[in-house]
Amino acid sequence: MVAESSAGLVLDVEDLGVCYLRARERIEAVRGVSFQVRRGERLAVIGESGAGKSTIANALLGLLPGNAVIDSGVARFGDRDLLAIRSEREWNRIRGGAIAFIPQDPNIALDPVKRVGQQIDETLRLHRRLRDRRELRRRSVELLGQAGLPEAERVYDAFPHQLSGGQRQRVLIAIALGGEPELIIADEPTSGLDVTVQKLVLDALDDLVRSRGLSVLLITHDLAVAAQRTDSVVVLRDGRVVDRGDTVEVVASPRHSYTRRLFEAAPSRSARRLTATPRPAAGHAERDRPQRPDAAHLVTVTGLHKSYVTRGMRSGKTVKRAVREVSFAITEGTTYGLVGESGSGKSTVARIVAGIDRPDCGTIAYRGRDVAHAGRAERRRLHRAVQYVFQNPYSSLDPRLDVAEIVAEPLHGFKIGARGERLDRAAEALVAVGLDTSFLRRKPVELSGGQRQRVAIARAIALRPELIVLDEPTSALDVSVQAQVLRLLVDLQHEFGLTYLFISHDLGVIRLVSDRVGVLHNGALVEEAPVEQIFTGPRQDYTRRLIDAIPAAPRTESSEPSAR
Amino acid sequence: MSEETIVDEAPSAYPTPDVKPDRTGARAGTTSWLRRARARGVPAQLLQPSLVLAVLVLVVVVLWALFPGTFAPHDPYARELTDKLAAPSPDHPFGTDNLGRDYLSRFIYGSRTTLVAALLALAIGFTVSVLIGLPAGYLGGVIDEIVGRLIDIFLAVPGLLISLMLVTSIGFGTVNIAVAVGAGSIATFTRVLRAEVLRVRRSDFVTSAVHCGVRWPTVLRRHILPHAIGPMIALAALEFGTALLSISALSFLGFGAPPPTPEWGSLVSDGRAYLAYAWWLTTLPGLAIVLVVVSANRVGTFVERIR
Amino acid sequence: MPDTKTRARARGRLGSRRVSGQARYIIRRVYYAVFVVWAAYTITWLLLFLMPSNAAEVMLRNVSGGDSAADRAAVAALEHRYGLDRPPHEQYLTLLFRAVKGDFGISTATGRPVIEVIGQALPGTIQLGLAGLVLGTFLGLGIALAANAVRAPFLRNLLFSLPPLFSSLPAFFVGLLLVQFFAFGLKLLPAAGAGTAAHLVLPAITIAIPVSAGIAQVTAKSLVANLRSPYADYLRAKGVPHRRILLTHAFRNAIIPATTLLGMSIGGILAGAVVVETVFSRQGLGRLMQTSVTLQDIPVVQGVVVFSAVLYAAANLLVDLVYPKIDPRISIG
Repeated sequence: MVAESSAGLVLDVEDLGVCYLRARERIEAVRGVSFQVRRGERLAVIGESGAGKSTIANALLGLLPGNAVIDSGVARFGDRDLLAIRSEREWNRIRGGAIAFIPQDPNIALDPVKRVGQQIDETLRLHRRLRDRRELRRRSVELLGQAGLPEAERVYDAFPHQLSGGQRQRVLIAIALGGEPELIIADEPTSGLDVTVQKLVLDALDDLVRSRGLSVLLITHDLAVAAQRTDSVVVLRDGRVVDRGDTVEVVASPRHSYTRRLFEAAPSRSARRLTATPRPAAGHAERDRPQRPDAAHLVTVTGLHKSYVTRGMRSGKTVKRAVREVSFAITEGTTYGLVGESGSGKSTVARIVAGIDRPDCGTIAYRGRDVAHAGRAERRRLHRAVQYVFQNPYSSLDPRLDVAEIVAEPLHGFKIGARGERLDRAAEALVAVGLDTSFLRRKPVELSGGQRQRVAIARAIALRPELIVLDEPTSALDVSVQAQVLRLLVDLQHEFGLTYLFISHDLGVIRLVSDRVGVLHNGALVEEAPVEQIFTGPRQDYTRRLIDAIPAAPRTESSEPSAR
Repeated sequence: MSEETIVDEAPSAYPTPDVKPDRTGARAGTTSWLRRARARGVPAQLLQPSLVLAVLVLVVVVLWALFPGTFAPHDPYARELTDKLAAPSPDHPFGTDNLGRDYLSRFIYGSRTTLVAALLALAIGFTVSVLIGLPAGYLGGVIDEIVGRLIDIFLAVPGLLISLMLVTSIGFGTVNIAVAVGAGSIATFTRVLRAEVLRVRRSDFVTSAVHCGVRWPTVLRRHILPHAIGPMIALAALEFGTALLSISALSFLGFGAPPPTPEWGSLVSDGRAYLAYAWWLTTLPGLAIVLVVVSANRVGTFVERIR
Repeated sequence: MPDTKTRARARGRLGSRRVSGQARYIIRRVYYAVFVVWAAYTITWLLLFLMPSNAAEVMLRNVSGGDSAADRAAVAALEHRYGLDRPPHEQYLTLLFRAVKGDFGISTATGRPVIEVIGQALPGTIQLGLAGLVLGTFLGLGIALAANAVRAPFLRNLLFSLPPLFSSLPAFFVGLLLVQFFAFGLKLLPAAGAGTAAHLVLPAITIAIPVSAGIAQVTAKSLVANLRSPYADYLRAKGVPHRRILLTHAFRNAIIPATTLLGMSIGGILAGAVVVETVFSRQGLGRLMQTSVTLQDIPVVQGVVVFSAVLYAAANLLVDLVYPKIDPRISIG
């Protein structure tokens, strides 16, 4: 397990321990973590949020916050111990030089008011001691080219906001290369990017690593990225290493049960739609699946258009066309999955179908009646039958109310039942989403992300609606929590005969829950088909790219040949 | 949003020294009564020395305003011609003026007129802006658009000039300057209030409540007001300090109550003629005003932070 | 040089799109400035119109103070002379039309045209205002930078508490304190009057303090936010020293909100001038305002108020035009 020879070792971390001091309390973030990175090796540090991944990265970069204490450990890099460095000056020579860093979200990592070129020049000035302007420009443009940017000259003179997310991430790669590093620490380098862009960026990074013999420490929660892009992995849980080894081996046969669960929870290309957990006493009306061909359309959306007008103090009026000519229908008792990348207009469609926003033109027929242009009373009736679950459970629950009040809010709003009855129904809904009644008196701050989203789902089902619009309901959650929530949704659908409109950017998730899928791209519905058809025979190039971006099944027992 | 941003595992890295005053309150070397109070379970954040001091200052001034006769050592109008322009002494802590009147007593009596004026101005500004800003922020649309534009325009003219214009028209006097200052503060008040309401209005949980069929008076009472009230109180405390400054300035300029009646601003102005040889007549009342305004601001920032 | 050529080409491509965008942007901002001035005029007129007393009464009250039948007749005569007996919209339109031509009426105290009175008072205030603005800006930026640069917690907290303290200081008190200390105590500078540079020092400091408070507050806060932002974290990870992050990156970003505030603080300077010019016995718009209020010279008061809106609109127009230069994200409308 440990390297036989220390030759070719770039980084050797031994027994790293870090804790944070908060209000006179010691919170252990990382304990007894050891790993090595060899020359040309790509090591993934995997873990869910709170596992201590970022703490490790910050410790290796000397960027721990003021309340962090390094309890133990050595981090040998070359001939020095990184954890023993105390002077900022010395750190500033290493950071961006021998150890380069690629941050999480490229969209906010660059100084917004400086030209991209200046920001690459900065690294060359600081670490390569270049001064001559023409030389700086030549080298920077060269670096941009190496990072895979075709229009390097133009990018050099652009401001960050004039570039796309993928371009910005490649600018960050160029900056990392500028210091001629031995080791690149990449902290979730693509989690802020759309899946199709993600692939391009990772390819560019891979090429550079191979051609230059660089080492990479890749910090990620994304198992697919780790499985496809690294040579070895370290799996972290609650600040401790629970599994480690060769990536292929760990993926094929995880030693630790946590690793196995982690891999199983991640949606993959070979996954199938989830079926409801069989229950011994199923007293509710059973809905047979696959869908009955004769089932009626609950919702029919026709020719939806919506534009947004924003008025800035200084930027004036800008019209953004969010959605154009979108039409689809949802069969009762099924899930319609709407997939698209950021800015594709999927949330706009969701809000219109739920009745929160109105379309500019087009109709939404609910059981054959147009509700888009209906009056107040009609819309109110629609709201009763259609509930909405927001993406972010941290903002969709009023922090001042307790769970009972939150879940009972729709009952209250539609004046259903007396006070005591409402409480009973709220408790019932809470039990249905897998929380016990002890949660009734708790406030949202006392709940975890997964629990909050369960409360939000409980609020949605409290009214016994027919349709629930789910707007990226799991994107703010960890993979293992995501798996639980998806399973819950499928069970609830089965139990109550619900119809879902499920919005996601992740085709892998969509596949787990949907019967029919629509692909949104730049506000237009480019493809629409039953879920299996989308995966087996996508007609659009764009759909194919989305499918390619889903991880190729890092499954334990899978004998299925992986697609790449 | 990636989950990494929600978890507090990776705080922004640089050891930026704490800007806010220490919330845990007393550190080493705290006086014993503070420690005793904490032992009795008074929340630590209420026991920051500067906050306690600020509250104390405000309490004293309010008591002065309520019962000036009890606190003033002398009659504020009594002239003692033998004791003209006397420097501060135990008998006359603020000294005496050119007519031999005790300046501290005049200041204490002046608290009444000045504080009442400031509170009146605050009440006017607050009430009007709640009546305008709350519905505008909540209802949005055309009404909000108009209110927004109006605020923009009123902000183009400094509040003091608006107050002066009103004073010209309605005449001088304590109540008049209070009304004028109150009217001059409506724009800033409404702007903050409206922004706050808009912020809450656009939050997911309000969208959710509306979608859940909750009627708008209930949404306002249940979701929006509880979230907007904190900033409103904080703003009121800060605005009280500003109103005090404006009232004093107008009084200093000579638009307040006519002569023998003491007001904080006019006291400083009265002392101005003797600046060269009776420093106390301007400096001490001036310092007292600063102390009260700073205290009001301190309480305001505190309320702003505890929400 | 091939480099400059490509750069010019790159700029040119963006630039050609920017021309029409920029023209539209400027036109829009000019419109807005005109709108603000018009609206300010209308609102002052409306406020005065709605007030219980009207200009004619006030004028007469200044002369006699009685309320006899003769006075009432005199009021009616005056009202007729000033057109106050005509329907409101007619009055408003007439006055607005005159105001557009620069005629703001006649001062009731001196009998001279308002525009002339204001014009005469203007130079002194411009001198004072500019000095105060420049001084306040530098002081404010200095405090903000220093507060974020020093490491000692004591000094840091002290510097951070300066802006709120500065905004709690009554201008009349600061002015008198400065006079006491520098003019009467140290006998370094003149206590009152105008003319030389020495006369300008104390009033300029007095007027600069509230300006610096606002600028320091906004800039310091913005610097803190910028130093905590992801891009600053990334700069640290790039090996950029703290000083450089503060001075070349965070400061450059923090200038943006400070500029907006600078445009807004023009009005504050005019308000400050009312007190400061009174304290230091200087001629200017502020002093004019003070005496006109005392004499209840409504046309002049209204003129100064409208003029302050003009100044504000002009200053903000200037800021709007500079803005795209300091915030590249704004450039294309």
